[in-house]
Amino acid sequence: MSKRIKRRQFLAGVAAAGPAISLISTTGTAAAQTAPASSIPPVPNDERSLNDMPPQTQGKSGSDFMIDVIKTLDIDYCASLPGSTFRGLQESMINYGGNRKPEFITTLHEDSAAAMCHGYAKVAHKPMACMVHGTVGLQHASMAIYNAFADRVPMIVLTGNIGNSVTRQMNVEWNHSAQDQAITVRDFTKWDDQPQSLQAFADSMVRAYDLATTVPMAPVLITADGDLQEDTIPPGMEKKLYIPKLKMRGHPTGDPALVQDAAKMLVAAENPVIYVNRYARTDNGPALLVELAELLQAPVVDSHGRMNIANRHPLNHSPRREPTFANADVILALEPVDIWGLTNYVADLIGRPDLPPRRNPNLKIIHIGSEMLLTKSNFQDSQRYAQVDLSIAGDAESTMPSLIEAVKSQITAAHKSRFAARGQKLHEMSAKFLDAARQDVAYQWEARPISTGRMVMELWDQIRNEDWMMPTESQFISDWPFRLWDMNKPWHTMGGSGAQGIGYNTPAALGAALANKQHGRVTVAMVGDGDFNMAPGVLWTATHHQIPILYLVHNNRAYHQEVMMIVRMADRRMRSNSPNLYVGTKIEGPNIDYAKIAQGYGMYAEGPISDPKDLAAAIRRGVERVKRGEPALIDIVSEGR
Amino acid sequence: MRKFTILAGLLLAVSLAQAQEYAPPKGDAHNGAALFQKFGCYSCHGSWGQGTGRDGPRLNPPPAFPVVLQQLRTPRREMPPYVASIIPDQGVADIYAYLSSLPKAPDPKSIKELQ
Repeated sequence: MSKRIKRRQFLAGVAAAGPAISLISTTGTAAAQTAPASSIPPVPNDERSLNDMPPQTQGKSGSDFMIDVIKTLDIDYCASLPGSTFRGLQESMINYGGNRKPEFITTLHEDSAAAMCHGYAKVAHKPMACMVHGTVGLQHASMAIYNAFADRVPMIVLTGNIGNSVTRQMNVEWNHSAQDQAITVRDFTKWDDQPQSLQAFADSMVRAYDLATTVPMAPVLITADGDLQEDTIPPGMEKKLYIPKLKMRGHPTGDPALVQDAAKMLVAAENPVIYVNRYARTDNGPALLVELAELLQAPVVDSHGRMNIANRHPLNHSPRREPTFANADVILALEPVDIWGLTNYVADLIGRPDLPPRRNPNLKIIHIGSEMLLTKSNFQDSQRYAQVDLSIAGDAESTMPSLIEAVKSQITAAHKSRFAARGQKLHEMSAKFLDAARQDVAYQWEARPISTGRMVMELWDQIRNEDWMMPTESQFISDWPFRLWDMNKPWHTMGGSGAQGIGYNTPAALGAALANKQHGRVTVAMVGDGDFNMAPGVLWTATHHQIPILYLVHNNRAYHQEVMMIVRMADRRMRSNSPNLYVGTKIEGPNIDYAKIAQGYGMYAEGPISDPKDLAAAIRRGVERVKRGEPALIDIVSEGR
Repeated sequence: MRKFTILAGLLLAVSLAQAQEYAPPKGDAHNGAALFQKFGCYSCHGSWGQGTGRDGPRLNPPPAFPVVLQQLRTPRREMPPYVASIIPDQGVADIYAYLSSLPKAPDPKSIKELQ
């Protein structure tokens, strides 16, 4: 098949792809070209001001073609709010494009738009787009883009720019234009371009999608020039335009020879351990990991960067992380993000000393990952450089089938017997994990403020028989879901923010809920009050677009992580008896009523709930709303963690 | 290194055994609860001393009083120090009384939501 698709062929392809798109394309163009007959009598020319202006209607515009391009990429949604630098593109999206593929999802902040893309991509396994205003919108969106970059998640960021200073309108358009829009986010995007022609836009848009969705995945940015969007496509040019066909390609996999070496090390090891963080990239990732772990009867330690392994699998020894690592003679680290941290620890003590944890002196580390394939200089998400014994550059999940085969080919009957004995001990240990966690949470069952363990288990009681997903981070709620729930589906959770930029969870969860909507899945998001306050406007988006999601606001009335940090600083300096100890870290006086906020955005909400006995009924009512396709929020006055 | 570890372990065991022999001083549990909040102990150990996993261990029931006192004054690991000028021994005794007054955990099997 020819790489080039002629314009006529492309239009035929669109028509074949779906009657709706074909109809929109035809009627949109026709409507713009045929002006209705006027019943207004003509005004003499000498009485008209600006009588030298050409007719202010036009035919097919540049941004219509841009939408033609975007439609070839199977992007379902574009989260955005209006910005004059992309007004042409927005109008084409909603009218010429029929507001389908992509559908315009209205948000109230660009950061929320980008964070929704982050959450959506991790569930849908494909990117959505956000469209942000030139300069100021991109500045707003930048933190969420950085989070996604650090989390190696794809998103398509579109922005506009009135690049030609001669056609730029006075004042505001100057403020929102730039010589180089992308510089704001270039340090944390995989690629960007500011194409100068419609053909260049087509090429760059397809290239951007291709790069964003190939491991290592990351956000990309395309700047659509304002004149290019708004001007009519010259008749002669339209016939020459073509849209490159995107061919989905495979991901980089590990060197086969090195994979064989890795298998040898794993089979020969006395106590191999598999460490995973950002490992699972598709719904098949957990199954491959379990296959390898069961072949070796090796424990798995999970840092929850993705939904890597069922939390109750007998070989999941994440609750025994340190003893498991201490016993290891080989650690296989799959997309670990921070390899150095496997054998080192910078203590939060004066001078920040490195206090390495106890490890086998003969420990060997095998690394399979794509981290080093995308590293930038300024922002330090690369983590500290670590020496390993065998490093295999490539996508860990894509490399897994060949690693499994290599391990299989080297296992003998003697190995199997040894592995079985090892596995039996591991099974016996993990059988106690759940009871220990239940005992821990029992200690806080009646506590007030409501404990995080109680909150989590009251929620679990309401969703355990549903098709559910929890897209939010759990480190601020003592990881209770991983300790107590039964998380066994690839979509049950999706990892964290990547860069810990606060304000991720609330909008990213909504992006995940948007992806879950077609599955009828109950999305439950436990968000801290600090995170929520960064992006409360997403409640309006959830209500407006009827995206089913249950928000539980973990309302501990503080930036609790920072409470601990400031107390630590004060203790060291012997000033913790100061009456100012909590200045700047507590969110009190007045206490915020999140249910009222939600109701103001049109969402069903209850709270604040302070009595643990009121929790179950409130959560039940919230889940019922979500099952009916609505969003809901419960405000829970809760313990710090 | 291994000898040092064994020696340290033995010393710790002896000190723990000795610590068990000390009766905790009399304290005011009500004031202890207030101090537990005021000095931020709750932030890592939970308001009910239930612990928060990796940030701070459970303190219900608390270890022997001398162990608590020693940990406050010269902490092991990453816990910040609380010197006597900040929390006098009597304040520690009050906190200890509060932690000792906390109810025992119910049997998890008695909680429907934990099954």
